[in-house]
Amino acid sequence: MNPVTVSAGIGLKPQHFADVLNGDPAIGWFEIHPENYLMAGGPMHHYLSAVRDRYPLSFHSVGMSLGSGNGIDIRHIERLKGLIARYQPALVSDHLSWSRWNQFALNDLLPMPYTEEALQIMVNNVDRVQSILGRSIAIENPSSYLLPGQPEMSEWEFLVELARRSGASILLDVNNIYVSARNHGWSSEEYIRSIPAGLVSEMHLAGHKTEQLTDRKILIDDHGSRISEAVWRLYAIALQHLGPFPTLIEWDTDVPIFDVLLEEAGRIDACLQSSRSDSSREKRYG
Amino acid sequence: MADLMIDPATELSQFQDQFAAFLLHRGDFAGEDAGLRIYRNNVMMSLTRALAAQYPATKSLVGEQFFNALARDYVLAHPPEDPSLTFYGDTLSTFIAQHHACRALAWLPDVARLEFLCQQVLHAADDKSAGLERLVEIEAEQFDDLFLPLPPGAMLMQSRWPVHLIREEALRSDPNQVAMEDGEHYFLLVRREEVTVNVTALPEPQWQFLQHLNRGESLSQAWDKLQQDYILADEALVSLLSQTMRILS
Repeated sequence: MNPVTVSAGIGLKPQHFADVLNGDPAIGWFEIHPENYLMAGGPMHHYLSAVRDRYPLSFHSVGMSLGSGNGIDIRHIERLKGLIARYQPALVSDHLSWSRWNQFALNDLLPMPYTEEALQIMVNNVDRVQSILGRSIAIENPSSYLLPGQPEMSEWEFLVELARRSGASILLDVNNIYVSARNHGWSSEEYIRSIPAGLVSEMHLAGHKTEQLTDRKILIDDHGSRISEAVWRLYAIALQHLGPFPTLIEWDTDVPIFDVLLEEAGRIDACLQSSRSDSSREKRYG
Repeated sequence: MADLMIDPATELSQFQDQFAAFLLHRGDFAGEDAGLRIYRNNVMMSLTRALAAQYPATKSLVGEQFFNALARDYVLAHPPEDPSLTFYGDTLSTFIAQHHACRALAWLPDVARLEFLCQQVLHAADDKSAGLERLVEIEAEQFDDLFLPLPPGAMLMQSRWPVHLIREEALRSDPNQVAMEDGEHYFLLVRREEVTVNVTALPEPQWQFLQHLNRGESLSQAWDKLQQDYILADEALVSLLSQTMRILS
């Protein structure tokens, strides 16, 4: 297994396979959604194997549904386990959310009620996933547009407690913190300052969009544009508070040419570089 | 396995039941809120987009607006059951055939069926068996015991419409009209070559021969049937056999 170093990674899209394989870009690592690679054979595996031979990989699942009230889908976790055995990713992660309902896979990161009951159910689910996979996973804070039920704790308290009780690490998505904080009136900085550095294993950055509703504006995490300046500022605060971590640029809708992602990755690397000289800490994961 | 015995009456499960039912338009959710609608839109948009990616020719033939409305009806009737969407929409062709708005588009279900076959073939297992190399060493007497199904990256389809041409034109930026002839039948081979899928029309005897082989008949059985069903000159038979073997290799 190639470890992911403290550097910028890029979310790998099929339209960029050729850029990556022909151009040999100086990128630390690539991240994929394993749900897009569960087919038996063909080009997706052909290209991912070639990328895997040159770069460390991270698996960022969107389908474990770790927050499901009726447990996890063991068949799906077993399939992911097979893919993990094949590609040996350095990092494996999913979200603080749910997506499965009865037999249906709703293909979204749906919001959790931040209650003790939900926390304990999610801890059980994460435990079970980690014992099937035989490794610990990272859990990412989602963007949210709604806080269901009567919250008994903040999202960051829920996230930190989930990581502590399950032994999972935290994948801190700085864009998601910004989006959710703006939508719910939280303080992004308080969120970041409440996260213990020892629990974090990775960070994410992405673009979002603003939608005008009748009475207010709402931010939507669409991964469809450049990282906003406000999120870059928040990232600098996160690096200052937590130290440097492997950081991914995600771009999933209106995917641009690969050079745009390289530019964003270059800016991440510059931030990591200055953070590293601040903290002189060097970490390796995986 | 105690953690599997989760009480279905938890507040979390109750909330998820209501919320999911709302997302799939199967129920209301207390406290109508802009956030709720964003989640419902996101689910619908992401699944519509997934279908559009599987069915680009179908979408191009009916136009974006029509396709989105069709996809919406499909998503609500058949939400995905697999978190991997690679084969989501496997029943779209049947759904189109029964959809009132598609009644005038008799050829559309077969275009969708072809597109889905292309997906299946694209992502099929990599075939590592060396079928043809084996064959060279085999004597004619052994043909009785020889079974030659299609490799995983190949599938057969027949249609009353030239859906291979319709699909090809629909995927062009500047499509031409495809002539449709009544009473015609098209015998198609969908096959992955390297990393792309090609669809070709085969002569009927060759297609039937492949179909027999693929259904588990031995080479000699398939060969006998071919000669019963079609009157072919020796030359044609030889060329058919060699072309078939090329497909199977």
